Amino acid sequence: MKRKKISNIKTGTEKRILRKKIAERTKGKVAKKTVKKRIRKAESIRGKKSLLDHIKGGLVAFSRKKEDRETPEEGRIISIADPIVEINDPIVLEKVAKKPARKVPAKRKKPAAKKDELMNLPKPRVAIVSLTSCEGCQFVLLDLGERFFEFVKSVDLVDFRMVEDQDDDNLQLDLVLVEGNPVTQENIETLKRVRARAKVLAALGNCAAMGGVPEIKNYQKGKSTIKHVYKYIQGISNPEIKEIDNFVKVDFVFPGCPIDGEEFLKYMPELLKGNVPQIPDQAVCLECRKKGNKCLLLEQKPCFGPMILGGCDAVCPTARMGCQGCRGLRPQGSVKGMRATLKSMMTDEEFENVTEIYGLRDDLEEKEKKEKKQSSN
Amino acid sequence: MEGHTGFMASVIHGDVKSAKLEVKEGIRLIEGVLIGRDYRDMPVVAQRICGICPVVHNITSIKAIENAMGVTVTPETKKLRTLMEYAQIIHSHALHLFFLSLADFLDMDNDIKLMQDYPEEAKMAIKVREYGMSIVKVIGGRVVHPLTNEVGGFKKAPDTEELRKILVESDEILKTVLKLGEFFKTIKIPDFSRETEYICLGKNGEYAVYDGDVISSFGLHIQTEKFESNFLELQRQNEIIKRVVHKGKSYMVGAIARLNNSHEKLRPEAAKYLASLGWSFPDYNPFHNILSQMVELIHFVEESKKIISELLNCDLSEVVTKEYKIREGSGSAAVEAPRGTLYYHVDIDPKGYIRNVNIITPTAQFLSNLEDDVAAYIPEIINLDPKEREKKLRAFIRAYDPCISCAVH
Repeated sequence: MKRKKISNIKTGTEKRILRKKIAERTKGKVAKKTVKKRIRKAESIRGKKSLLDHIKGGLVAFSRKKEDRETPEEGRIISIADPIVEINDPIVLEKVAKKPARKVPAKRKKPAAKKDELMNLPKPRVAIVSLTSCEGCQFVLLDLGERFFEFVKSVDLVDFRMVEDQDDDNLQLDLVLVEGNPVTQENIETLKRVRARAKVLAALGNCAAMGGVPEIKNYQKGKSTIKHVYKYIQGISNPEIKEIDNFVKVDFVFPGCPIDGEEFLKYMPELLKGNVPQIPDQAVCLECRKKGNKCLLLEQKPCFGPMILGGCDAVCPTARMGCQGCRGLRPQGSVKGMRATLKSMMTDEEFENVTEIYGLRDDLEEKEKKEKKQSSN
Repeated sequence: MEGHTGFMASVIHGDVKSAKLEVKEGIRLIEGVLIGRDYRDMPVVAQRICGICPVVHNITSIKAIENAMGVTVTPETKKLRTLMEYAQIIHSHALHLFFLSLADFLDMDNDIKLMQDYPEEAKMAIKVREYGMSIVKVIGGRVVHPLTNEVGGFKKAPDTEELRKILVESDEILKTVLKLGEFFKTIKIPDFSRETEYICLGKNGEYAVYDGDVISSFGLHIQTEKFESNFLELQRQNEIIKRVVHKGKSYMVGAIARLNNSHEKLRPEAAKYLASLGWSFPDYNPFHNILSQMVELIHFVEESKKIISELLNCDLSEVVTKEYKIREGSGSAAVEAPRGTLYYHVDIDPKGYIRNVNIITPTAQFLSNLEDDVAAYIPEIINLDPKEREKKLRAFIRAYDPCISCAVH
């Protein structure tokens, strides 16, 4: 059975490779070259083609509907808890397809788990950690009301500081959700500590993922922001704002300022299983149009919808507030195209100013460099 | 409690030398990051100071900018904003009363257990909270960090059908809060009292929230613009919360302050409930802040019902932003937040860029008062065993409902 073989991956190097791969994948930016290199490296480690076998085995063992495999952006799932890896990335799939075909059963029937067996399974241990922030993302969860408490009942919730004051013990965690910026030394230590204990770590919202409004100070000249606020600045920790992935590996991001409660409930079941879902690469515009909104851009009102990752139910444009990009750039979006569209509505400076609000500006500059490179090639 | 805090009180021979709240939250410099930015960014950025009370930061910053640029808004806009603020107070109070504070008085160490032991009451509290949230959502577009309110009015008028639905629901909610009120009467509140000055907004004929002058129980009565010249913001070395004092002394804001100063302006059901508590004013028991929130919860549910019916009888398209001129100027504004008076001051340059911002939050204002209270309270609990003492202290601090995210910003 493929499954057994796969769970034998135990060498540190293999694990590291897997982890790296997953990190790159979840970030959605992986160069063809890197994939090739990784696969070659993997092959050399564990006999010939062994990781590829795992990947193939994983594909089969984990395959759900055939359609899912054919539309990678809809349901790309990478398992971390169980080292079966399903990779639907076209590049990797192509690689796999080119290898001599091995006979594998088309579908692996899962034995139907009995209900009481499921009931006896230990609940997944989840921690919600709040670093320096407005705690708005936690309130989005709390605001789900009874639905949130249903969720709480289904897990073993550790250290949800806002409603519980119990000290947590040092057990392994299945999932850690991190909200806010690591500003104080204590914040950074907490972050590293929970990462070490977590199977899966997800960023909860814009501050953790992109820096949020506090990151504006990174863009300000002279770094004198603090002097506007405090007379005595000695002894006050005022580091540059850095996203949490500068300190720890992040497996998944719940984007937005604040996060979207419905989206949270949608992706939670997969995360609790130890899988990392992928948010479909669709613009905010898609949901906006579905809602029947008049396009703000057509009214000459700035809106970043076309280049920003959807999934928020277009909540801002629906309230006639132009999208300012709190969910981050979507992989396939074009910054160049967006700039061209906005040219008649705002100056470059105004555009850049708005991209600072949710820490979009650094990502944008990076992407523009990439776009330039691509077009010059 | 909202935010990270620890409490240090060094007690030597039963004598309280110092009681100091230690804040573990990091700084975000919201005032600093606003400088040099477009005025339209201010409500967006400033409301992100706090995830529980973004509405009040949004409204107050917008009012300050309007005052700075001389922008006037329609009475309908004012009404709609007032309703949004009532709703903000309703959902914040419902949360604090039941989920953040009650466990302390029922001798429980966590609130999930509280929900298991008091399922009926928990449901009621959630229902009331959801009522408040639904109002914010209908008006603002969403609950945490609302979207529609802006300088000059609203980007979009709320759906009247949705407002009507809320109005229909309000009678049921009033019954629910009254039931919840009866439940809260049964909790045992410690007896403790220390005289202090109560400060809040005051206005003729109404329980002031959206606007008014700054008034105090010791007779102060000034316009909002004079706030900064009457109250002193202090930063101690190595401290990230700037404390505020009035005439060199600590003072109290929030539900208990509003009730002390304006209790005769409550709506009928809230007044009836308050009478049944049998308090005499001035009331100086800080634990009573919890029941004061309960009184306010009833009052604001009644108010919300009244104001929604008024809004449904006027032309709601009047709330949509009309054209205005960007002008240089300075402006300030104050609004009653769930935890007390929130004050904003802003200077804007001729192009609409922000020159200077000052934000004074309720928690920053009552922090010194909390420390003074705790210093007075410690001798009463000094002989308890350490665990019990810690519990009592925690209950005390939580009764204040401090919001550290707001206090640090």
